[in-house]
Amino acid sequence: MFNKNIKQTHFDRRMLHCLIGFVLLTTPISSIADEQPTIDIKAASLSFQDQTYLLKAHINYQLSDDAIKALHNGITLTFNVDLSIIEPRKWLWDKHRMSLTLPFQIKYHTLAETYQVSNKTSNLEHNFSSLSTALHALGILSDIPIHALGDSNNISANVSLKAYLNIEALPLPMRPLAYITPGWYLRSNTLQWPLAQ
Amino acid sequence: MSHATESHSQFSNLFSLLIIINIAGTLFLLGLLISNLRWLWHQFKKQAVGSRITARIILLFFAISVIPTGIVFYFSSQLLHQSIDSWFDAKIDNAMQSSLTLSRRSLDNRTLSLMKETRQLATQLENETDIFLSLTLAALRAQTDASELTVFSKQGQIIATTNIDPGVLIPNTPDSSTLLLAKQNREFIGLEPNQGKGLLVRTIVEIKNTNPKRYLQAIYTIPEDLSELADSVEDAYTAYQEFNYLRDSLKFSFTLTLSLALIFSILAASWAAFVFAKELVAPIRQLVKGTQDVAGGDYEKTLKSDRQDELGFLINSFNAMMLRIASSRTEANNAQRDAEDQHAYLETILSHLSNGVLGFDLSLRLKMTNHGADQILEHPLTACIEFSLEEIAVKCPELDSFTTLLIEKFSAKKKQWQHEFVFSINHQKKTLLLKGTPLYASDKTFSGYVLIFDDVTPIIQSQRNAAWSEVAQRLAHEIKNPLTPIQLSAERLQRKLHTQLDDDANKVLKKSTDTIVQQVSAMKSMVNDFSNFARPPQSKPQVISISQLIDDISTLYQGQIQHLTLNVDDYLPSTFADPVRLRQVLINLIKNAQEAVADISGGEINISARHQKDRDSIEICIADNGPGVDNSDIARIFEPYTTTKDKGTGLGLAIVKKIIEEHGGTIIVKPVHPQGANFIIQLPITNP
Repeated sequence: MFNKNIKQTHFDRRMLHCLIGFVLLTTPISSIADEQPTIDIKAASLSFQDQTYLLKAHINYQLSDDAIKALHNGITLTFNVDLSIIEPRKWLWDKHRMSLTLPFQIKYHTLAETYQVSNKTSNLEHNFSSLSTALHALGILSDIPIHALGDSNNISANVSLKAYLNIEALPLPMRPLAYITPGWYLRSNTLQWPLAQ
Repeated sequence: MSHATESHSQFSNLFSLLIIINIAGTLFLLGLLISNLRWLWHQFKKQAVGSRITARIILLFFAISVIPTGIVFYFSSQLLHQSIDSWFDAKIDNAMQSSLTLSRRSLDNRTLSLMKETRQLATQLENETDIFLSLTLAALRAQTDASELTVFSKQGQIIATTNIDPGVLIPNTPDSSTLLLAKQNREFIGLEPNQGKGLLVRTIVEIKNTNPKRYLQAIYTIPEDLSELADSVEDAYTAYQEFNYLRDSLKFSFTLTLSLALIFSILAASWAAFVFAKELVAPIRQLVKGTQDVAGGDYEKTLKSDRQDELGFLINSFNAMMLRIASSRTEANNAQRDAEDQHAYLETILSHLSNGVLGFDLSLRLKMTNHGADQILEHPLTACIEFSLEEIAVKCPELDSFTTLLIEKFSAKKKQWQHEFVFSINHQKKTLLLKGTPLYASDKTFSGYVLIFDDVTPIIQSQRNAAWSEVAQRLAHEIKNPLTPIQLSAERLQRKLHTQLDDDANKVLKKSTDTIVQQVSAMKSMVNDFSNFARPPQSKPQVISISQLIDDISTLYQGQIQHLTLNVDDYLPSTFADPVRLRQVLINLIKNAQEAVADISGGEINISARHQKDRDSIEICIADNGPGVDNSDIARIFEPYTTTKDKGTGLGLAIVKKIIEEHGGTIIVKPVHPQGANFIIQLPITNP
């Protein structure tokens, strides 16, 4: 059931990156330079237990005003956590042995006035009375099994982790503006560490 | 509306890709357009063929595409904005808000009663030890509507729990903030969505009289019918709120789509206009280039075209026209070449004719002449082409009588005529036989005159010489026979009568017989001359050097002539001639010259010889400064019995001329200024 989350780098994704690159190039650099990273991976580890790799991570999500406003207006925000196993190569570009995307969603329930955080991989939902609690819960990844990785004991590879707001999951009319609005550029730096033997 | 904001449709997944493709296509078209505009600008600056048409077509296409698409864009944009705004209304806002409030109020009443129920349950758990909590909770849950009852510590640790579903082992724990609120307020009540299955109410109440502190959490499930209604209101409100929030984004998105479509269509139309214009102009450019090449003389030009439209037809017509022009040109060239060949043929014939041919137009202007005419008339008439006969007479006064005759003859009649004409030119008397004929063009129209004439002087001269030869031969025959008996009789008379007569009579006899003998001897000499003139000795030609011959002969006269000068070319070519007879010619002429200068002081004889390469002949001149020859005698000086000397038979120059003519040459005499005569011999160089 986890295999469906393994995504190869698709053409449209690359095109999307090209568009983002184009947008970023055309966006005034100062506006981005002033922004602090709104998603920060505080800690992450991949441990091997019982023939399975378990991912632990602590990600600090800080939403921009635009995102909070959208959330309170019924927009569901999808945050993807991308996990990649990268095998560095000397002469060629690095080889991506595996890429896994873990999607998480947060939405506001108007009637109940609660924030719902759901893990789309496990389809588990949790309700939170405050946004900060919900974001905190969103950023806690504890012992998520990575079955797709299999036994990689004999390889020398790095683990790459990054989290970002999936603009493509936003409602259609929002996307063009979201791509060119700095408030919607919610993305963490990529954290890399060696895969534990 | 829902379609516009739908996030899970196929179009939604491709939306960004479509935007990228649109932008990429627009940029590509923009690049093409800029490139084509630059090309057009260069063409326009160079004033290349078709650049103006191309510019006009582009402007026309641009105008045609911009105006309607601009109008459509404006009205579509306005319509979309107004439509989107019309979807949202303050009344609907209020209604939605009211429905939400109503739902909340409805649920609040229920939750308050559930809270009261939880409080009662918590009261029953007061003073309850942890050991029996599980059992108590199970009993309490059975008495109430709670789906789950959980007791946990202040730190959130679960002490006991019970669920309506025995399979649920892990209770629905509150989050930290809920727990904190519960701790602060001693109780908490909250409504939560229940994993996609309606709503649930979470109530937390502090259990009094417990140490350490214990909290009871009761979770109630909202009845299904109420949950569905609440969900419906929640969904509708959330959707409306979302739509409201996306209003500006929708406008921007639609405007962006419309703008991209507008820009794309305008750029595509402009590019299509360029393609169309280039397609249209290319054959025109070909045609212009073709006509320029034709104007430059390239009649083999053909244009290539695969088009099946009117322009293709035009190019095919041009090619057909070029084929016909090339064919006509070939025919014209062939005809011209034939005419030129014919002309060259006629010219060759005319130039090699000994007869003179002159062509005149209707105004008697000279149109054509030939080498024979120049030679006969001894004037280069080629330089008088396009001259009228009057102008020729002015330019060449010697031809005055000749031109006067022609004017008279050609003006008088338009039929063929013939006339024998005698006139003097360059001190020579010439007899010409003229034949005039009218000239008709190919359409039988009268277009001019042609004169054909021949110098018959040599023929007349030869006829005269033949007559003289006959006379001389008869004279020699008739006279020579009695001369010897006369001479012998005279000598016999003297010998017989010498002894019979006295001295005086002897003297008379001797004188008379001597006179008879002398005169007879003189007559014999004269008869011999006649005989030589009539029947010259047989010619024995051989290769001789004229310069050597002149040198030998001049040596004979070196002592006799006081002023004899020689002027002979160093490299005079040899010729094939009879040296004896040429020697006779030169001696005769030198002797004449010697006699001419005998009676004058400062008499001088000049002998010259030079090679005339153009005529391939040798010119020998023997000039003296004696009394010369009267103009009246010049024409007849070479005729027999014509002499200016007191003594002589008058046959010397006739024999000279005969010998020269036998060698194919000519001899003329020209007066020398201030006095004297110059005999000029033209002797052709011949080989054996």
